[in-house]
Amino acid sequence: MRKLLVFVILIFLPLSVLLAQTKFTVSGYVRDNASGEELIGVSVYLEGTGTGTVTNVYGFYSLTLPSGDYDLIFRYLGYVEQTIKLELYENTDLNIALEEQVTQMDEVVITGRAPDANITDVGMSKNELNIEQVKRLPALFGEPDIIKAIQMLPGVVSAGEGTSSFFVRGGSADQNLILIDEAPVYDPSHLFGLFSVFNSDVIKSSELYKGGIPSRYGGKLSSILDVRTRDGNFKEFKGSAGIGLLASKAMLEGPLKKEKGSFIISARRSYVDALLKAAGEKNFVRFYDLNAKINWRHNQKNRFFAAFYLGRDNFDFSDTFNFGWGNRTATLRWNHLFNDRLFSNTSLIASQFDYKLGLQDAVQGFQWYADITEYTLKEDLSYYISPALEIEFGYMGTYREFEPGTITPLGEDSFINGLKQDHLYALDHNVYIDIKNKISERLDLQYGLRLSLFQHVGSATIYTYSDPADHVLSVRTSERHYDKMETIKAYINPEPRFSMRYMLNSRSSLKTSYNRMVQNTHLISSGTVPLPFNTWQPSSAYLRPQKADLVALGYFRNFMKNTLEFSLEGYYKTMMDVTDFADNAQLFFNKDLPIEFRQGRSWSYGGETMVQKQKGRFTGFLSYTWSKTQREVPDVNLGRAFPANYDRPHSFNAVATYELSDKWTFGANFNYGSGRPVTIPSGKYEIEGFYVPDLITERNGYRLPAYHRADISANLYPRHKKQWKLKSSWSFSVYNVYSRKNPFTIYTQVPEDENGNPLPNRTQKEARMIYIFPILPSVTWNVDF
Amino acid sequence: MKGGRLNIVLIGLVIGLVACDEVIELDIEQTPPRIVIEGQWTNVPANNFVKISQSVSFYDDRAPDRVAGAEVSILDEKGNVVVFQHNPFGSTDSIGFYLPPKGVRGVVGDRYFLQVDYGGVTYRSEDVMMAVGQIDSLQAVRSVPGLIGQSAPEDAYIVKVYAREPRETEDFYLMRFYKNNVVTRAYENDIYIADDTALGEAINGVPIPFFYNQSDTAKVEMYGITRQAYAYYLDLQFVINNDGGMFGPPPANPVTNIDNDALGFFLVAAVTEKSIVVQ
Repeated sequence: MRKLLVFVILIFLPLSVLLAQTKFTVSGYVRDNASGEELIGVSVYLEGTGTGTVTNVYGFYSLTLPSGDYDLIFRYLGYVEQTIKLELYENTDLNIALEEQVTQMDEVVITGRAPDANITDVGMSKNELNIEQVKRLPALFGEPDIIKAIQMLPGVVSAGEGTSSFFVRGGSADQNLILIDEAPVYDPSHLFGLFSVFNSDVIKSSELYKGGIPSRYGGKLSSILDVRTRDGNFKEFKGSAGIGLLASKAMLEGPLKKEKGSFIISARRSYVDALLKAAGEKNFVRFYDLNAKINWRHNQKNRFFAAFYLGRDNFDFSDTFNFGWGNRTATLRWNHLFNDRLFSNTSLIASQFDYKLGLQDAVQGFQWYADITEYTLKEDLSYYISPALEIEFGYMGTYREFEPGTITPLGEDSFINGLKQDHLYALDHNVYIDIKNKISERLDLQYGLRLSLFQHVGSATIYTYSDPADHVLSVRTSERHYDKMETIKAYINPEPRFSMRYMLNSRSSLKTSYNRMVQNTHLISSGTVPLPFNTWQPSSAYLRPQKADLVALGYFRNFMKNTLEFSLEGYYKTMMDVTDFADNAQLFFNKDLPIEFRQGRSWSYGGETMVQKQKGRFTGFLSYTWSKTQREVPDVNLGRAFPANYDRPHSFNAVATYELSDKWTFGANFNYGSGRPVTIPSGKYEIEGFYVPDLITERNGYRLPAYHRADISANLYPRHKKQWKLKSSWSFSVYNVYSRKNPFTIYTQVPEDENGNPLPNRTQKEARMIYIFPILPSVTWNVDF
Repeated sequence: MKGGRLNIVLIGLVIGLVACDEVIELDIEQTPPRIVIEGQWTNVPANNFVKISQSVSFYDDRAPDRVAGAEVSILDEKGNVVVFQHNPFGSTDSIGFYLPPKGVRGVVGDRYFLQVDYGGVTYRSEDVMMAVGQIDSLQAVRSVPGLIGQSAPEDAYIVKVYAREPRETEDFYLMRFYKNNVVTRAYENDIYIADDTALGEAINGVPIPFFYNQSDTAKVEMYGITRQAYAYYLDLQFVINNDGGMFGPPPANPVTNIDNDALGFFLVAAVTEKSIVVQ
């Protein structure tokens, strides 16, 4: 593998490197002066030219220039610009600490990045989410949540209210790669999606890639959500606590050794269970999560990080049903500078997702458990050849173990037999190269290739079925056993990536991109909302890798000195071998699950536009998306194409915050989305003179009413005496201000009386709509120390 | 527990937490009626019939239409033909029911063919009669409150079933439970089916999932059904418990063994039964 890498690098290394004249490198870290945290995406450039670079996700930059005197400018929104007189006659280490801008009313800036990134960045179809902005917006139950903000971005739709799932450009929810400090989170929901696993206290940056995905990312078809947590304060101890309606949290950070090491720890817990208990309820609902991170700057060349996340939900209903799920991740990282132009990051990553279901019942009592565990070794190298040429390349190897489900009978009389489904194992090797190549001031390219080599390995017993397309009568016809680590099936897929930016003038640019993505993990679920009770399976003898091709074209323009950012993008995406399931598939308790698998194609196209204001008292954005997503899967809907579950043609979002004074800020948002398609009956009939089944004629043939909602919020920062170390603030928000009854789902039943007993005349049926969240006010009290 | 029940619990949970639930009017297009054939052919003559009805539109107030003018027959592999007669006793609530001549029954292991001619269309189906084990005994015991996840009324009894099933084969069962000769269910949309995976090799005191009172008559019918019939009942359970595809799969019509787009199923099964008076 290493040979291959060297070969690839040699091919791509342009001749200019070999012919270089006397050049020196200036490199270092850019940090926040107050906390010592590294800043991501700071633009570093030479006065009077466009030559420059930006800091990477670890705050590192490196610029190689001909010897000479330079004015080097460090620029970051929300921070005071710094200019350094640089005499570059030898290789130079230059660490910079930027001072946060003092809040002046008309200078409020709430995003950290290069001011003109919208037009100059080669990347498109990408959104940064600023956590400070998210915190000012209205929040459900007063808990700021980046996933709720993501659902408002152009190109993104949600499945409905109160879910943490999101759907990017016609991709299903399991096609999003959700990373916390590089570790994948398989289910980002708490309380079935009312909250997400991301605690706003510890988030440093979060970026969503919807297209033009750089080759360093891979593994899912539709999007990458890359969330990085804060490193903790290197200079002084700080903390905060928040008390909300449903959950409370606390955070503590500080130096391990001043300027050398830091830690941050944050915990959050819901107390709905305590309230329910007080109300005499026998139902329990609870979640908690814990983030912890330590950092050590050994020297300029070596840095170490360890980050952990642990989160869990537990539900208990009248001592009869219980559910629980949780994610655990750990990331160990080593940043190393081989020299001032070659930056290396080595990561060891572990992630586990599990869920449990239990039923206490004399006859059918059982406990069900399933999980997925993975371990990854990742090596990323960045080689800063010149300001115009940067090469990233690396390797990522992942070992995954899938436990599809074990049933254990509960209770003496349970007639459920224990069933242990075989574990599945997979190895996933990826190598990639990504080249950022600035051809001229106008033309900037980023291109690369990712090669994925996937193996489904033993030990396992693989069955062949008499007719895999018949999920009723198909039976096992033969079996073959594979030993531990023996390859059962291998798939090799090249994934080319390409992005291009062309500056039309200093205020506008055109961008285009193409990416192929490959996904070797498959969600085993046929509902619209991915529940935490869903298992995953690897690509295997039964499932082919899912593949997607996406092309996008966009026009970007900034107005009023980069104050107003405008973007317009169109895309076409085609997905091959998307995993689906036969009609009426049995996904639970099924030892012959493979005969339920169906793979088909899906295609999506659309247009997205966004106007964003990032500076001033008044900030916010407007976004509108028009899109269409279809699916065509054998044996589903009689093989005819049908709208995907999350096909919502129109989606409009407006988000605004206004800073009235240093005491009060206000926020508001409005969402509108076409109703999602559902399958409803066209008729009914009787069976056994008792049951009244619906007659179904078409999958997703009906649309729920449109969804719309407005929320408002106010944040109060009371003035404190200077000597007080404690600073408190209040967040008030009202969710669904005009109490719109937004449909969540529709189901049908034989009408019932007030006590829930079916009416005796069993010939009628009714359709009922569930809507959640009428108007919901909430208040949260926060304290910083 | 089957998927359908889980979805209902989830919906209940969502409603219980914060949601509201109300009747809405769907704007549904009219579709032509579809024929529904329910055939039941067993080794017990009194259990054999074919019922034919038609689907109606979702908001129709009427009961689904019964079909009287069809020609119904069952054939075996030896060429024997059993011709069914529509509502031979002429009772009003038996319109749409077709019965075989008195005393005719199926034989375990034989394959049977159903043919229904109606409205110029011939509907065909076939299935094989599977063996069924034997119900050894039923035992009524005084209930311990909450034993079945429901609070027990005063003086309630539960009835436990003891039965054997053939070991070597993969078997599927449909159970029907009766209280005083009326089919009874714990929850209205329950269908009681089991396969070898869920069921042990013997049914050792599995309780009937609802309560009886003193001097009630408890009866259990156990049908040995084919894999396809089992799949049909699973699907039926899904569609009558569906939530529109939010948590569960999008609803779809159950698989059937009848051709030409008919709904329903031709159930061929050996049946065994046992009853006791609760005391």
